[in-house]
Amino acid sequence: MLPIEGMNIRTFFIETKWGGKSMVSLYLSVLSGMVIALQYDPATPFFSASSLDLLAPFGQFFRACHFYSSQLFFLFTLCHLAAIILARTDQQLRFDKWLLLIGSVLAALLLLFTGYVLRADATGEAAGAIAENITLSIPYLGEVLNSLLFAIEAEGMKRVYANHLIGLGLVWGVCCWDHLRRYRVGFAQHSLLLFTTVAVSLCLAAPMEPARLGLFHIQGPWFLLGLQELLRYVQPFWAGVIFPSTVVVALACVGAEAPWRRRALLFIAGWLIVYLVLSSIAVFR
Amino acid sequence: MADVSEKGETLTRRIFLAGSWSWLRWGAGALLLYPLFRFLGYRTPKQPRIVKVNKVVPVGGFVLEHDFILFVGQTGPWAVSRKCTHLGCRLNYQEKEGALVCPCHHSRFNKDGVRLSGPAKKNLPRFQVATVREDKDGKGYLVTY
Repeated sequence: MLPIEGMNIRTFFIETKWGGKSMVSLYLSVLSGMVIALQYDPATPFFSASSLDLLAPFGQFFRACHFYSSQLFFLFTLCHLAAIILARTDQQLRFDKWLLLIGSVLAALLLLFTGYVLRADATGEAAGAIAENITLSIPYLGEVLNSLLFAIEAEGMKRVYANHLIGLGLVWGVCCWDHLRRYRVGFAQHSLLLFTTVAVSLCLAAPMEPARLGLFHIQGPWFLLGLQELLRYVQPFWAGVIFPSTVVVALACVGAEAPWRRRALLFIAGWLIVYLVLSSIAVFR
Repeated sequence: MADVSEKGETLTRRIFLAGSWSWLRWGAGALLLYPLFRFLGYRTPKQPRIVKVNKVVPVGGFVLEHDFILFVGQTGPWAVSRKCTHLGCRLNYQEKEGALVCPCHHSRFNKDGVRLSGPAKKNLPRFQVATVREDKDGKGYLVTY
């Protein structure tokens, strides 16, 4: 939908129902995820994921549907967050509720990320190894957090799968519980989006990059490209933990009173510019 | 004696006990995290893995396995890990330059596992290799790691 005459892009962006689009994409992601979970085996992750594409009837469609709807869910969540901040609607929320909603964005990011890891192709395997090593670089808490979230080296995909299927979904649900009690979204309100996602999933398979001889460059998921680039120059703890944490803290501060809100917004803008530059370098490598 | 709390309410014994009870419940809940983390952190001790490479590699040749790369030189065979010492990505072998390259952040190592460049700081671990002259499965190499 294009901006209507007399309505500028900012107003158009604010008034678009990103939250609803995000929820409908999540419905589709959960439904298609439930279907593929019935065939997926975390003991043989790559074989299982590639069998879905190559052998299982309509497996490619269901995996693509899960992939694209999950991407859209996260993208629309980010747009929703940006629109809320632009419209200053966040200031109507209590600070603790704002913190919970920021927590839900993190849970959504981890849900998307664990999905990448679970397919266990070259990208997924590398992403899992990097995440595990970054987590382990956290002093004192690293071992515990890794046991809770990944432990891929010791346990394979078992814990990542459990978190993707239940743990992170539960965290997301708890964080959004109060928010979603107020806003109900039905499939019928976003039928065009649903139809487009299903149509794209029918035509376009989800990415899969098997490990092979002569694979000398792997590009991580689009939302982690900047981080991948930064990890070349900076130690894992600073690049993988401190740098991303600063933007989360800044997002939390957006929910605070002035002048913290303004300072946090300035910081987020700067952070995004740096991340965009890093991502661009990673794309053109 | 009654005192005044931060919210401006009079701090009676009842309020104090109710507050303490609430803190006690939070503390008990937090204590439950200890067994949870101990449980999650437990690792079954792993036996050393022994992988047989069922082929005879000519001098100057190599075999790429899932976890290691086996080289055979004038002095005999040796194997180095394929796990990058930076962040654990799986290395690939660039035969032309005789270097192991990390596809994630482009750390490079030579055939002996010595770090050449990139963000990795440590050399690659080397694994023990035994040559199998003849057994029921034929000739090959046993790599222990």
